[in-house]
Amino acid sequence: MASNNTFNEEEIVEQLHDNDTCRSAFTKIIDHYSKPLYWQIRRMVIDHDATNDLLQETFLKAWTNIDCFRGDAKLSTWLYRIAINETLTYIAKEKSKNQVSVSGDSFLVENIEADKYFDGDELKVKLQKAVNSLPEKQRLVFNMRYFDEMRYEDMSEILGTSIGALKASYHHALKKVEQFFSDID
Amino acid sequence: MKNNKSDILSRIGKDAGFNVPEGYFDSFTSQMESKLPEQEVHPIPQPTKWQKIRPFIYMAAMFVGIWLMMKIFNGFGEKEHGFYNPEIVAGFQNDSNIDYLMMGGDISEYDILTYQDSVNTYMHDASIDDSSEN
Repeated sequence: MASNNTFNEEEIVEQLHDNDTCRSAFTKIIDHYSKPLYWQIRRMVIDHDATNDLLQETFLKAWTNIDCFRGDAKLSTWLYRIAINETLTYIAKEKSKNQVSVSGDSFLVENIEADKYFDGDELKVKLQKAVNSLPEKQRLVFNMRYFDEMRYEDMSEILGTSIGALKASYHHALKKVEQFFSDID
Repeated sequence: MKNNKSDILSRIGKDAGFNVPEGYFDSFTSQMESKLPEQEVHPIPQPTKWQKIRPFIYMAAMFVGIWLMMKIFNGFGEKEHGFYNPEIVAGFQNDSNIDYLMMGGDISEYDILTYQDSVNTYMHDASIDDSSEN
């Protein structure tokens, strides 16, 4: 799920529970997972500043709850779960702030063209609008599968959903995205 | 139609079009590390010997329980068989033995007759079972 091959998860988890090495081990975790977690959050909330805050919150939560991590699940699974929970909580807050009641989170992409950290063309804007019209769970699945090319097995562990249900969810999401394009043509 | 739609996704590709401020990821780790509060971690408690062997002990106890139950049920079977011991049954079919018991034994006449009845019933049932098996 992350890129660095020299990252030895077993070793890091062992170091995490030693007072002398836990801080440096956690720094390695931040270094290794900040990118994939950032993009996972960013695709959900769109805005860079919000993503940055959520990413920091994710690592802070992981750090303060490091005693709870016993190595039963994969480190990446645990971090992705925290990140996704933080992201969904943020979206729910934003929804209630904006008094949005419709399904999908189109309000998040309303000003995407004006975002200085978005340089996509018209098609990419449309794709973001299409993806953000999906229900949250489908959007998560679509982002993980389409952009990250994450394995269904890993997605299943992170989202706590069966592989069959994830495949179905991705299939529906793809259909809806394609439908969105054919509707606006 | 389907090809047209798929064409759109393949034209867009996997790049969502987002970018980050320059050097964002290079500085993120050090920035984040400075924000981590000081805290003590506790080592993962190692399971005790008892916790390690407990499942095996429980499983062994379960098998012993099953074995004991089978023993108890078999014991009842043996008892039933012992009650109709072939030697005793043969003895009760001999009238001289019955007379001896009735005259000189401590067992009451009623008990002897009751047992003889039950032996006769048992012999009758056994003969029915034998004939049906054949």
